[in-house]
Amino acid sequence: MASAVTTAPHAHADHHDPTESYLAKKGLWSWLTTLDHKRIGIMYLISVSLAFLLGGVFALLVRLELWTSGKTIVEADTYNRFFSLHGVVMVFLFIIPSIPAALGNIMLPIQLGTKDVAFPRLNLLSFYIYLFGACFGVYSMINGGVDTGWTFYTPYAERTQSFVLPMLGAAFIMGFSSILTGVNFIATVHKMRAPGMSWRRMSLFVWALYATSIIQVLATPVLAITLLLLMLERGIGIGIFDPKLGGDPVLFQHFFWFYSHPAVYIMIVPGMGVVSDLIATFSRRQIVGYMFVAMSSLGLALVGFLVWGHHLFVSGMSEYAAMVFSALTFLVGIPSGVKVFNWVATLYKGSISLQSPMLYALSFLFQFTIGGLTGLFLGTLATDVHLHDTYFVVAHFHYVMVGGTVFGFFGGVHYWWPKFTGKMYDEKVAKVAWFLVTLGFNFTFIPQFIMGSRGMPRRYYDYLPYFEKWHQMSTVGSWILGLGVLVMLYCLLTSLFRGAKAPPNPWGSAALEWQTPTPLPIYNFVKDPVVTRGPYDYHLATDAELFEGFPEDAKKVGKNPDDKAAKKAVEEKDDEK
Amino acid sequence: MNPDTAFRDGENFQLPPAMSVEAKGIDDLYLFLFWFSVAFFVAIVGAMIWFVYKYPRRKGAHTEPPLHITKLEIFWTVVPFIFIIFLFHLGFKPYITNAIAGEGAVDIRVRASQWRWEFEYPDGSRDTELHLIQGQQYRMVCSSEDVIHSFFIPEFRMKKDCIPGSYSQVAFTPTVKGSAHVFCAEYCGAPSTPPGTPAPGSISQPWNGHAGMLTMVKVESKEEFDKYIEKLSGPQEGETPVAWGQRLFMKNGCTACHTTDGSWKGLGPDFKGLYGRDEEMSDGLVVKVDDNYIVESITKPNAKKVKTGPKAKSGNPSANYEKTDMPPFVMKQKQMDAIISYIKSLK
Repeated sequence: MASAVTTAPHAHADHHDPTESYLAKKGLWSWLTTLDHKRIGIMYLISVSLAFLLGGVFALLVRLELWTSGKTIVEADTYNRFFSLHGVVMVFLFIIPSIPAALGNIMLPIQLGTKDVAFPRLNLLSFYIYLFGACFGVYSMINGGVDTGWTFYTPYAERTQSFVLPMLGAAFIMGFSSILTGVNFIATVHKMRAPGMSWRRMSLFVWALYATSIIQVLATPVLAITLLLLMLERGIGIGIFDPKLGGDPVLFQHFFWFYSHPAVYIMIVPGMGVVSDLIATFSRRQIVGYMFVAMSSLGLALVGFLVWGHHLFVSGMSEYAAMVFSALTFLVGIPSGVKVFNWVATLYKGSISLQSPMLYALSFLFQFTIGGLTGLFLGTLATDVHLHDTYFVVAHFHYVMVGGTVFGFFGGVHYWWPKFTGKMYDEKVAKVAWFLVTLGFNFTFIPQFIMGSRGMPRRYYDYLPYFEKWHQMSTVGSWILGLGVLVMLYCLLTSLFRGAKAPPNPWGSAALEWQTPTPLPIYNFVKDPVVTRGPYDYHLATDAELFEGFPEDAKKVGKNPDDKAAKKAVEEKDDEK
Repeated sequence: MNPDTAFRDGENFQLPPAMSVEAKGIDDLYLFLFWFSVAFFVAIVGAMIWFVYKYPRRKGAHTEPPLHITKLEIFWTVVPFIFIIFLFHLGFKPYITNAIAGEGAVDIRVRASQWRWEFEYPDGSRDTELHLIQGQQYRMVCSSEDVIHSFFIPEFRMKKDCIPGSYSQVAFTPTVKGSAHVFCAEYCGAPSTPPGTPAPGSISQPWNGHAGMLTMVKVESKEEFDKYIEKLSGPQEGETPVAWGQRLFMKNGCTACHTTDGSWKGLGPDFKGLYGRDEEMSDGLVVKVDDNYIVESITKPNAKKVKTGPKAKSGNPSANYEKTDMPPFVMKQKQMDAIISYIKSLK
């Protein structure tokens, strides 16, 4: 295996201590020029978290405006900008890079037992491309933003007076960042695995990132072409999509969803990967049907390319095309179902510990099941005609994207936080945050299912008085959700200053990333690891790993692994349910 | 939105009342999917909660070795596959049936534009409200003047996008007398400058843009419908041409963009003192406003566009007539005459 010949671009002639923390080197410049995947991952994590908070502010403004029918705080035009910016920021700046580029960057090389990704410079470049693209987005927002929705449907996106071109530029540029990350991850998975890290020993998170990377590399160029054509048409009036210039507006929808439906799997598949790892660790069991779960990620990546037409069932597309797309859409249910069934089966006879990351994983299961089942209503042709473009769709995809991906992201951040920061957060506060976030999320979106099936169309500034009570429930939910996110931020950020020092393996996981010191050394491992078992092989793990944490690290901080106090602390942690 | 528009409950709180032949089948399907989903949800989440309760972590306890039952994996791959074939069929059959209008279906043209609906009946008379005969099958032929809109009547469980540059069709048969809302379901923006007031009695609210693109559909008996059509195309009893012209002016939604009081507040030019005036066009041509110019401005509105600027006396600096397109209107000669009389009267 090639892991021993990993290039080490951040190596210095005077750097000898293999246990030195990757966080040891201080100074902004050392961060901005770093080639260390962990540092790049953390810079991504900070960027996407800021984007999430910005998108969240827009979401709260949208919900606040809908508190009453008619005007509550702003005029229709401003409201349209709010919901459009909520969508654009959340999709392009947050959710697509969230798990792969932030958590994936940090964990993928460690889970593979290697020192870095295959192309560390490309990795840093992709981060700067993301920032460069984000600058265009911010420039558009400073000038009033866009009112097109995140979908930029033609010909509206060509007629509106809002600042569309820079926003299209932002999405176009950030696409390259996504492609480069994908290429990097594929090469890393193929070429950089540690000795003994066979395909069957890769974590399901790595499998998920691998499937995601394939979609990123194959689908994102189509978005780039589409957005470029739209920019050219808006800028210099070539006739592709605008019927006034001889174009076809529905063609844009085909092109757009050819990327954006696979992009849905760019968003959800990494979340599924995180949840697989969480459920294994906190049930101390191998994921049931490991290969089925791994292959279902690839299956979703494949089928995801064939279903874009289900966004066009009422667009005047041929009824026979709708028939084919409906049939293919139902196929998505199979790999999704396989994952859910295997996760639940893993809990059976497990040793389940309800620590905060696991709570997020269970919320994911609960919410993803709702998101998936409500998808049946939309894949079914006759019911989709009624539900298309109503709040039912809004609730459905928020259950998948937020209830699924964002909860997976939260769970992953809580799970790996001790590893990459070296600090423990306050578990009690984290649980309070989980409770508020889960309650708030469901409170926000369950009323939207009912509004949708009752016929409330989406992207509406105003509504019939009948819907007021449902809208107000939803708005109250958004406040609880917002409060939960603030408590979570408080919990995580204060841990950086006041948190206890994290042991190397606080969760008693058998996975490879926990078998290395905390905080992580620059090259991830003190010695190049030789992998002898899979990440979920709890039946092969030693008691020391499961019940005491990593012995070597205990030595490093001057404690004997047999130290009774340390052992007791670990056991007490275990006792917490 | 308009508070006096009653919103009734359907038989099931999840769905609005069913008012068409098609709605019944779709409701049955919806409720089948609902209970199917509830059963699945209870099974999955119930198992999850039960396992979490049953197998909590115990100090120092080891878990059982990994569980691999290939038969089980195949079972939960194949059984959902059978389910989805079944569900696909349930959804496809009514969809394809509803897509095709039977013989004897009456065509109504649906023209959407920012932010109003216009319906044209087979005799050529037009209205912003939709009136239908109970039990008659209809085919709506949808088109759009500007951006994509979507014709949506929840009570009929029916929706079709109105695409500029092409036609789309949808068929249905209303079965229940009464009224319901017509919504626009495809996002179509909002005005950046406040538009004028809509026709009296109309529930359209163009200042709300997409959300205000609202009208009513009324299902009535053949006799009521005939009376409605008769009233629609001609003047009311004792109505002067000017008054009729004003009514047509309101009804066609002209007030969405044009003001008539000299305030110049709309997206288009103000009409006070328009008739007989010399107007400068964007290409520099000066036109005297007469009957022929008005007819051209209504039937081919974008052939000549008034110059924006001080010459236009525009009190609304954010409006740009050269960049705003007006949809063309087709009407009967009598109606055109009445509108000209009305514009002439605005002094």
